[in-house]
Amino acid sequence: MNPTPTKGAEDRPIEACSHMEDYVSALADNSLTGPMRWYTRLHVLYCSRCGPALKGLLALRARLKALIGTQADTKATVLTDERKSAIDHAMDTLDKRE
Amino acid sequence: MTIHQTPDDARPIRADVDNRRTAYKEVIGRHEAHLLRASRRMCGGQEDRAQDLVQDALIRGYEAFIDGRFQPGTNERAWLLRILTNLFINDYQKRNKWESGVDIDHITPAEAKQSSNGIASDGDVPHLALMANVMDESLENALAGLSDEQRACVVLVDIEGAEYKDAAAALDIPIGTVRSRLARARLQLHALLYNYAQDRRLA
Repeated sequence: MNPTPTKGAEDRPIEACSHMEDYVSALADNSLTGPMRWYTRLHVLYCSRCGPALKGLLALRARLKALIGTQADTKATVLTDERKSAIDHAMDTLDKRE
Repeated sequence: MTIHQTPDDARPIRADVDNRRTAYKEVIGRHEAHLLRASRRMCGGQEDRAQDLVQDALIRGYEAFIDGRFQPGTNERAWLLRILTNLFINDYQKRNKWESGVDIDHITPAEAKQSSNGIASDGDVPHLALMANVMDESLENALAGLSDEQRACVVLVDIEGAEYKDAAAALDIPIGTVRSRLARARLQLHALLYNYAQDRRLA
């Protein structure tokens, strides 16, 4: 399980060592704990593939998080009248069921 | 008005149907927009499907609400998101995705690697610059390009901020599967965005 230095690996976005993909990804969202966190951090520090991969994953996550509140995100944030009527009708049915 | 439930009485107030409906409609009001956003992304931008899912989720939610299956102290948003995700899963299962003989948890890494290899270039692109240059629309399109299962993971964890255990419960899969599915989804997503950047000569 030694880091796998690969010449020119920085040129390939997010290509972590195959056995470390899940862990590097989990490190990026801070969900990794215990010895695997320690090991993965060490691995990333010295691995020419996983280091850039972690940076790429962190950037990707930040970009995804920024989708909240974007223009596309805030438009049409209500159900159509048709759907609202359907919900009311279903609620009527459920209330009568009791 | 809030949902009045006490630890001594796990069942929601049944005293008055109107009050109950009013209370639930306030729940809807608080979370409708959030649910629609999540649903829209899970459905890859298919508006009708997204609206259908939210409608069904809110009806299921009311059913659970009046049956007393809404537990005191439950996070309303997480609770509704879980119902929504369950319905989404049922929906794609009905579409026979699982019966196609393709195990997305295993086939996607190869696809991601293939994609990643295909886009390797001579020039290194700083990841932050790459992401900064990606338009929201392109990111949404890339999300839509993921499989339903992977997209649901990304939407729940990376966009909605759910913890692995909550995503695992909502998707009815083990936490380890959430982790591996997320890793593969992120790899593929990054590859798609890198392709986009190259196409637009941003890389």
